[in-house]
Amino acid sequence: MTTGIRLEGITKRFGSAVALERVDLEIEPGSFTTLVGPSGCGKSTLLNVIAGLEEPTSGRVFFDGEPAEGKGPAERDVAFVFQSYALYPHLTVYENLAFPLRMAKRPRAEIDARVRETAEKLELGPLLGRKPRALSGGQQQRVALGRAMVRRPKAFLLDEPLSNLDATLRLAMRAELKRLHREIGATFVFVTHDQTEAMSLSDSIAVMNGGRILQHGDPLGVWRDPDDVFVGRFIGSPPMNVLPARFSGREGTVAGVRPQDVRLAPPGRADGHSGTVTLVEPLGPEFHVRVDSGGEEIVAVTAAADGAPPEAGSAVTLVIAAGAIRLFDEKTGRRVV
Amino acid sequence: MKRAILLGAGLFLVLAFCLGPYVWLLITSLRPPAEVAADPAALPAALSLESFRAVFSERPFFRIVGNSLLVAILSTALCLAAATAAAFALARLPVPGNRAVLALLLSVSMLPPVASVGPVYLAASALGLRDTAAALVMPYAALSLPLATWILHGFFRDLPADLHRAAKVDGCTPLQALRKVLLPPVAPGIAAAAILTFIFSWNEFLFALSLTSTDRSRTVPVEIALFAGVHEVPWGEIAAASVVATLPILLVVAALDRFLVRGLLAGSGKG
Repeated sequence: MTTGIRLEGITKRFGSAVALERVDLEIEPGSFTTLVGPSGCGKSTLLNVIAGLEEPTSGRVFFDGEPAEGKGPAERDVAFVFQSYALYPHLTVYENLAFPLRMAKRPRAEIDARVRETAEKLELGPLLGRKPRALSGGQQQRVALGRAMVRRPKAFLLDEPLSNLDATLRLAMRAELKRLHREIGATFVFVTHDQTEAMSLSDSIAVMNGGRILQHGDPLGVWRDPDDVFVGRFIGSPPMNVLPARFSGREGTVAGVRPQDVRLAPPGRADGHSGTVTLVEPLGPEFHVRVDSGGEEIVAVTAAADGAPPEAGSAVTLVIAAGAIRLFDEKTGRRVV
Repeated sequence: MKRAILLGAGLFLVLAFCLGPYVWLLITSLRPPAEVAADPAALPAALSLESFRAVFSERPFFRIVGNSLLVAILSTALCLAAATAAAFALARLPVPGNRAVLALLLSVSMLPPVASVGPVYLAASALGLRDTAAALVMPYAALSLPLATWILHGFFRDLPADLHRAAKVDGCTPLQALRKVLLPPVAPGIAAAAILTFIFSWNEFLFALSLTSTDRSRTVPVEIALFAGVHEVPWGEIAAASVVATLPILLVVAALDRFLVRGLLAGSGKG
């Protein structure tokens, strides 16, 4: 029932604008794969290409090794959850859930059984008779998920499904999604611009920018070992520090250092870079400390458990463990060491 | 307070301007015909339904109203079927040059109808359709098509694009998506386009005058124009017939006016 999806050399142009440029991607059967990147990076277009809602300009899509050219979304047997939910406004929750099954001409009894089973799983039972406009945002979201689940598709494609929810609900639905994925066991392809969402949900993430996939791997691996300076800055919060060659000691490179790997020591030490604290942001469990070192702003994260960091204006020494430095080519941004 | 008085006075003036002729028409239709003939503009001394009786018993007016209803209903149905399909395709399907098609529709609708009366007359003659309802239905539907398509295009365009995409994911063909998913939310637009098409077809005079010749297919506006004889103008009957001719439109608009306003505002914001 789980399906692997393979993309080969997908290019998509809209007129002269290039949305996707020779994208290759292998999505493991049953995995939770997230396409993450800033807006306009091509992640939604890529999801539409997988769904069959957009035809690629060139390149091929395979489901379990079978080419999917010319097949619409229904024939590909994928379900799609939209950011706007796209519930049918004139139909009740029950009819919304039943709609894909009715289109597939399933027997009435089977439709009823599956709608009720799905509604129960998502706690929509009491809402079955309501129209979408009489539902809260979180309830609409669950109906949208239900309409995808009810078909038992080979793959779930989710386009920023959590973006329209408020912060509390988003966290709850995030956990809910992860639980659903484990329960259903189908392949999930998820699109988001939120790196925290990507990190916390996924088995594997593909970081995109400018129509390309810059890195694809498991979230922690990508966080620890970014292949590209953009990936290093996009994944992780606060973003990776990117420092000029004098910090890396190698011409033509920049040094990437996670704020978590920058230690603040008393001033005057010889094994670090001296600097002045410019700003301290307390976040509860940790502090984000901005330090100016010879005109470079460097962010360090200190744990609240280690006590309050030096105040703004204090002189400090920044100590960076040699193993924490990643070197990137100054021009291409690709990883060197 | 002063503002309210000014506003009230302004509203009264506008209402008087719009409704004045209709009130006059109504009064004239209810006066005894002899009195109207003596002085068409006087206030009524007595009320009488004589003009209404004369219209329906001395003329084939039932038949004429029936012709008008048939023509208006058929043209509205034909026009809306074509306009809905066209508007959906132009708004939601990858039609090459869809903007050009819309612009062309708009420019075609600017042509004065009188320019096409001649060719339409020749075409109707050639097809043997002169003096039939079909001869009016086709040009009426065609003349209303641009406006109806534009109104509906605005409604389809204002629907979230994801709605159509969701329908595709759920297995709909374009026609199924239109029928099952997109049509119900644009019902107000369809109502608005229907009212406008109906009113146009009901009131149209020029084509009706040229293409009909007997009461087999003659419509209300032409029939009323022909009431006037050589020696006398039966103002009372004309007024009575006009009042009757206004009723269907009043009924339709009263039932659907909130759709009409929304329909005409479509495109300026959310429908």
